Amino acid sequence: MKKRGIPGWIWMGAVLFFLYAPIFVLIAFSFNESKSRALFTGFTLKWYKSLFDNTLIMSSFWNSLMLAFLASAIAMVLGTMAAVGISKMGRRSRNVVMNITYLPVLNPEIVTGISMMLLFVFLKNLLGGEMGFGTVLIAHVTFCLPYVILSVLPKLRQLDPSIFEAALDLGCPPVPAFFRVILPQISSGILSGFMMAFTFSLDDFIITYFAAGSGFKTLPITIYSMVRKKVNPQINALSAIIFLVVLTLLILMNLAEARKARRPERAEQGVLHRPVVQRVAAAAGVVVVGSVVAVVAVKNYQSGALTGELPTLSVFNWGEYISTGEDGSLDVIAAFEEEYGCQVQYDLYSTNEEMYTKLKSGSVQYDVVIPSDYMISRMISEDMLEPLNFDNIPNAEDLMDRFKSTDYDPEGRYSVPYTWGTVGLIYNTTMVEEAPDSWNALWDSRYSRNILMFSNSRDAFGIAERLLGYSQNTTNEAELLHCADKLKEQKAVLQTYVMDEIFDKMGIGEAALAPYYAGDAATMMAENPDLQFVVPKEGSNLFIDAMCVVKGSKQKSLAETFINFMCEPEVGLANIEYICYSTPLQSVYELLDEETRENPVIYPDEETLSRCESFVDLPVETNRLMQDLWNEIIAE
Amino acid sequence: MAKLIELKNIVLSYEGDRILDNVSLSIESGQFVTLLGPSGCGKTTTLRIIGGFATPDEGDVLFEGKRINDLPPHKREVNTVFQRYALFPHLNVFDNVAFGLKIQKLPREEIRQRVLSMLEIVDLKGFEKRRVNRLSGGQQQRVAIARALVNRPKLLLLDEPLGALDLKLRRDMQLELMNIQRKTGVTFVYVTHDQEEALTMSDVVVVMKDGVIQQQGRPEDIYNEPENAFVADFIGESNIFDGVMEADCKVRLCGRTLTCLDGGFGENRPVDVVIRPEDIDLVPPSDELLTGEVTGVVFKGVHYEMAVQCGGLQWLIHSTDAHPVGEQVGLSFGPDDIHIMKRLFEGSENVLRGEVTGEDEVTFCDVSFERPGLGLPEGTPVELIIQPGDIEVVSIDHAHLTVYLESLIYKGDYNELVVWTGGRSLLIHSYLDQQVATDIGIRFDFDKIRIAPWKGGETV
Repeated sequence: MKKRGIPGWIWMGAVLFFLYAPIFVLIAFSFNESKSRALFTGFTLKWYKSLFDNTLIMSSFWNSLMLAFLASAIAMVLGTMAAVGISKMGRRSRNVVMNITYLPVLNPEIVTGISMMLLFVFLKNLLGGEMGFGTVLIAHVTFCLPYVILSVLPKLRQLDPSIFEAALDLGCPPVPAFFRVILPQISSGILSGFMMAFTFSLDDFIITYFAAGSGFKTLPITIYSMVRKKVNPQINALSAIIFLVVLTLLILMNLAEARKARRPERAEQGVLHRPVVQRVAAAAGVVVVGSVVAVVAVKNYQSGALTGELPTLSVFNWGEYISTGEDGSLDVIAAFEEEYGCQVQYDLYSTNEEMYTKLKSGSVQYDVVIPSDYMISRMISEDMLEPLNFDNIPNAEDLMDRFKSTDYDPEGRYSVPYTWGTVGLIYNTTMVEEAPDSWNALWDSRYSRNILMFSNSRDAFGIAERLLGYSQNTTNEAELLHCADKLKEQKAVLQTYVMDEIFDKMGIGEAALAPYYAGDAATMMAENPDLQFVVPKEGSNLFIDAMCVVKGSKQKSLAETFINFMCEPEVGLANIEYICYSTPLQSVYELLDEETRENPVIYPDEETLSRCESFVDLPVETNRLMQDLWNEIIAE
Repeated sequence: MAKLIELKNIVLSYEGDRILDNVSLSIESGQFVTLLGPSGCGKTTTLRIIGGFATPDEGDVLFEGKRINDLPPHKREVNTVFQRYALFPHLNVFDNVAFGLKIQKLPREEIRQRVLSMLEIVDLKGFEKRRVNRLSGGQQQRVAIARALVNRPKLLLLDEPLGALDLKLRRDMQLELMNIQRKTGVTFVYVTHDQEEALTMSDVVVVMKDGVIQQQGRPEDIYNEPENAFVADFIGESNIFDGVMEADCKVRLCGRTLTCLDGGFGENRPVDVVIRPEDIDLVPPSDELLTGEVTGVVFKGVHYEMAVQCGGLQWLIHSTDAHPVGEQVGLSFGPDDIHIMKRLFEGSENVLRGEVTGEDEVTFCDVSFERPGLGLPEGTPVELIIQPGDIEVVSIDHAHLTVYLESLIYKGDYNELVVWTGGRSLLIHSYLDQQVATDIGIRFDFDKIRIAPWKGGETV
């Protein structure tokens, strides 16, 4: 063996470090007391506990397992049959078929995903039916197939072709001959194909994202929609568990492999006992798979039984945006289901644009959505929302006057506000010379390289517009050009353009100033006492997320009942305590503890609020101009 | 004896190539029949047709008088020993042998009895629990034989079963196979390319080449009376020379007219003359005899193999007495040692039809060349005469033409090659050795091609 030398060891150490450091960081933070991704404040197991209480995560976890198991099992059978067929082909047709088989592997997943979605939507319009588990299963079988074929084919090629003929020759008809002599030879290939398909299916996000309509969530989809603002430490805990399970399996498989390597010596003596480990592993595998199937079957049976009798309401909401019953809080969805004898199908999105695109694509149908201000005005103008019947929403009376009519829905006909908040400046008192009161501070050369800025165009332009005294909903080209110049000027003092990382960078004092959302700012301030928040004197954006009913809803009155339920004081309180944003409901506000009510960050005074306005949807050409200018600013 | 299996006018083509061309064969019960020939001659295909793994395009396969063309392999009372044994690697010796009996759903005890007694016959008692891939080649071979014979087939097919074994083991297994065949009385059809194996083991030898049966008969008849130069060359070693039949019982060879026993070839016909190396005695030179000089001696164990240069030809002689290199010797053989055969290729030169395709340009077999001063108008058919020595064998990359090598026979001075291209044979004389039944490349010496006006008719 060649000696490795010191550079070799260093190189290997670096490689291993880069491979494993992220995983160990993740595991460490799964035990972190606080939600921060930067500061380790103490050891706790609470995320593990709440993980198992989180019905959303657990149900999508079971969904993922069931889907992966079924998809890879079907792909295993079909793929093996295909491989046998391909191996019997002539050279030319085999090459053609092999290339066709490879194509889905090489094809970008995004292309596969979108084409699947288009096909399913097309078929849905043609034949009826809904997208959901069935379509995802078809999609997964499709992309799992090549992996099975590619792992079975080499085994078939290694096979002595006369083995099959020998079985026929000995009187065995072709089909039993396949099972008796071919299958045992290629079973390892089939199994590794199955395992590969299983992991790919478990893993898949992009294709599932497009092929799943409403109502079927896999773990990756759920996780993605949960990490909208900050990674929920439950996800860290779940990832840590998955990693450990995979690690254990890997070690077990290697042990079995090592046993197998020693086996010929035993065979030499005519001893043919299967190693105990292998038997145990096989038995364990059967038990695990069997219990998964059983659990899933029971769950499905139950939910199937429910579906038959009860009306179903489908809700499309942001991730982490409703009280889920952790730590003794109210499980809002379960409470609603129980009270109104219905079933709620609850799905998540992570941006307004994602929600909008999904609804527009026609692959999904929802009853209730909770978009933000400007998106509501767009959806109203595109006739995507139903006018609400406020007879079914008496609790809307409880809305604070300010929220009964808004910039985006002036008559308040389409939406009932759910949460709101302002955008302001968060700053570190130890890093600034005096408390800022103007957006100008983000241009202050004294804090050069310590200033963060929103990385999305609408928010960034909004700040510049405020500073220059324009409306944040302006469509005037000259004003926008002026703002662009102002933003270019800012680049000299900026550390970077960011979005979610503000949370971490400000949290550990890596930056002095940043614009941010009030609710999140309050959370950060609770963890880092050096931080302060102010709504600058030029005024700011008042963002509102509001509940709406989607055009074409088949459960309109149930949807309105749901909106009404969300406005019940104790429900609203549970939600707002979970989300930490501001409530638009007077009675919920009154139920809050005094400290929160008096917190000027979350509930600013009238004077401050009078300086704020909400975003409305801009005309297409204004949006385009803004985006072009923004790209130019970023690129420079 | 009753006919067990009969093949009648079997034709089989694969991707345009004729693998079997009008093969007829009948095998009697209890015989040990060997199909012998070089690779690609169709012997394995014939076996596969009997086994049911290939279906003939034309012709009938009869088993005990019943047509079984369309009967699938698992319904035939025939078992096969495959070339590379094709044992089931996931089963042990016992389960491999028991496979066919288990398919028949025989009682467990009967299966056990039959498998054990069969393992005893093939001398593998005590190996029941071994994994087959832990056995030696010879042991695997015997498992394969046991696995086939335990089903008590009426016919056992063996496809070069000893090909993978070393020489010593092969000799032992040959004897063992003959014993087994005698003990069980099962009819064996055996495929091999080893002529010695065929002659040793068989009741009947069938010599095949290019999908055509060249000769079938008892081993002695095949050896002593080969029907053509191919058989003579393939079976044992032979001296094969170009001769001319002057009249019945008179053949001209090495400038002399020799007396032989064959006739019926007509007068002054080119023929192949075959003399077996062991039929020639080396004696002191005299005027009545062909004389020559010993140019090489090799000791072969049982005999000496000597090369003698005589009359411009190299003669091969087997003798138990050695003669030193350089010694002048006389070659003595009788009229009955001379075998006269029809030549594989009619004529001694290639006559092809070509066409003038441009000014001074001639095209034949998709090959064009220029002949300055030809002066014939475009479209004129011409006759091209090409001497066998004016065609050179080259690698396919540099070839004018790629052709299929049908046969190669050493004629004492050069190799006589018969190749096949575009529906006609060509005769080539070459000093190079080539693998038969493969594609080779050839180049023409265009300057030496004789061009004559076309005389009409079609010439091959």
